[in-house]
Amino acid sequence: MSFINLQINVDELPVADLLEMEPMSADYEREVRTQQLIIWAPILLVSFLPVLVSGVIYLLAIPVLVLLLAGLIFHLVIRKSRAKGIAVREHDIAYGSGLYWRKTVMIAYNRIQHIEVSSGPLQRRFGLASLKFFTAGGSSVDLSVDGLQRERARQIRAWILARSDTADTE
Amino acid sequence: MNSADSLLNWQRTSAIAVVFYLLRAARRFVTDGLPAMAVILATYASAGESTRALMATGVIAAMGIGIIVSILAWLRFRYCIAGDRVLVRSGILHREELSVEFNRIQNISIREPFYMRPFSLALLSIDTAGSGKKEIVLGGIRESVARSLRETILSKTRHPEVGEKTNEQVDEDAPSLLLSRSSKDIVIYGLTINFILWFLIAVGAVFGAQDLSEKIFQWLASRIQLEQVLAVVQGDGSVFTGILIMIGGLLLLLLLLPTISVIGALFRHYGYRLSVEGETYRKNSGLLTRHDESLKRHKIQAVIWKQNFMARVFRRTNIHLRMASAGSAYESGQLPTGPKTTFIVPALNDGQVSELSAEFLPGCDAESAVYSRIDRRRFFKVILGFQVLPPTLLVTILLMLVASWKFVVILPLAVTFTWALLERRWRKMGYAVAGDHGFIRHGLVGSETTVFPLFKVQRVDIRQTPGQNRRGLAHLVIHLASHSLKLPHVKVADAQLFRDLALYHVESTNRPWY
Repeated sequence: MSFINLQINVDELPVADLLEMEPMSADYEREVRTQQLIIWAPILLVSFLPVLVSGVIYLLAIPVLVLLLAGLIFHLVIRKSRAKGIAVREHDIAYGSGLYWRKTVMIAYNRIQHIEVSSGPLQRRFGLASLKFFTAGGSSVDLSVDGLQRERARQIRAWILARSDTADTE
Repeated sequence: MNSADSLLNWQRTSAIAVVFYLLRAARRFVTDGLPAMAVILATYASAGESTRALMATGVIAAMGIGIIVSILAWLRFRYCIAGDRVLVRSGILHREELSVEFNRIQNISIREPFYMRPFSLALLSIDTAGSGKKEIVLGGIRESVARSLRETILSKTRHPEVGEKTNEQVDEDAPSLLLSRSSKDIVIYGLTINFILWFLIAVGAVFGAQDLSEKIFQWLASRIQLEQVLAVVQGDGSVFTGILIMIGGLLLLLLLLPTISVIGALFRHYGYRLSVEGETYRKNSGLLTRHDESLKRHKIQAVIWKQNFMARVFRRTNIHLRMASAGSAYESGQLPTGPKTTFIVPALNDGQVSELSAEFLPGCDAESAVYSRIDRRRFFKVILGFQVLPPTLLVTILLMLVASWKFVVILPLAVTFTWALLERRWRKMGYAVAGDHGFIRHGLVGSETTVFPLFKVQRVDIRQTPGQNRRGLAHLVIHLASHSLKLPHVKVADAQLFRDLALYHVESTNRPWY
């Protein structure tokens, strides 16, 4: 730790590395599955068209390939959704994501400008919501957490609002 | 104070504001329409009599529209001060009403453009922070009103922590001069500012994927569409003349750029004086247009020491003070370092740098910062192996197949060149923490060191690619309210420690960051 030169004891720092990530709600996985079905079902149907129109049996390879590709992506997307996690701590929130390309974002509550809870039509069906955090400087969302149960999202927002003087929107 | 109190009703600015709107529109037209201008000029040169007349009519009509729009913009503009906020109504077709709390104001500056000075009128610009990028410009109000308005706003945005104490102090602290710059200093500054730009344009084309240079290069490329110009020139000449004209133009540009930047620096910074009064810094400068900017110490998000190649020759450093910005300037199509959120202290020698840094960052111990370096192997491997080599290899092989095997020399040349540049960049890149301040240094020939109080950090990201994961490395991204800093290929443990330290400082203090 040669780059550091300071008065406080490094060993006493709250270590973000040891945070326990809370996985997303089980409903989130179901939402992701549904989302994938909605995307792939029409593509699969269309891929049967060449066979049906021409009658050449070898063209069945197209839907087979589509199915394989869909299966692979489906698998990866589900694994990716499982890799997400948040840790709500006393003074800050951490969000980890990514299957191979990992990313961990941390924001302290007293730097949050405002919090937004939103849920799309599909999310509402599964009782889910997205939590969005905004800090100063960036014009876009600084941290967006999908796949929380709506109650949990509101609970986290209330927890954070109680610990800072931020504004909120819904 | 009295003159500011009389602004409680809706006010209109002086009619001179029309000139301001007109100039602003003209500037926007020139910067946004540069490629079109080149094409128009080239067309004009090669056009017949009737087309020329038509084009001239078009230009006159455009100017007429500009004047009418400017007058309407002035007529529609109203402002007023209500309690602790500034209200503004503006817009010709799309009406807009803006209300800004004094607390949200980041920076107030007064400008006296040459066309307003005879009438003792001034421009007051108010920069705000927070969501939505907004800036209020009160064009053409009486200079005395502008000053008293600024005093009113500044006195009401007093830092909570400082509170009452400064109220007493202000009376004691008469403004004291921190720094003044002679014309010679300003000329040196002019030579140093844009040099990095020209240099990086040359280098940036081959190098520095995540660099500023690339952004500048893209920006220039999007504005100067050489192909279009060439196409028109080709209309009545050969390709050869076209190329000749382009080369000539490029040479002229290279000679012209330093001259332009020196003249620009003189216009902007002539008679530079920086003074401090309590917590407030005040900067006066300008040849024709006088600029009077002020900044509160606690609004400083980061201090950047910039020393590029030219500055090294003169042994000078420019200090940039960064304030909170709403959205990155680059996203909105402007150059990365807009003057709006940057407060420049030009052409300092080493003694002045440390003296002023201690002033801007109280408690910062820059002397004791010990810099660590990033992972050399990974840095070289990713840029050379993944970013430079594959395209170079492809081009070389293509050239060898199509033209001659002799093109094989490109390969060792490219590798050596990249290697040399990477070596320099790697040596310059470093990070440190000293006390409660963080330091991040970048550079190629010169260097750029950003110093920031750790408690002003907004957010920290740690990213890991699969390759980094295996080697225990990560990218560390630190987001300040002014801008973001990225450190590639740092040891994971270091990245996490840097983050934990920053968060520790953020969370253990109630000092507001703004």
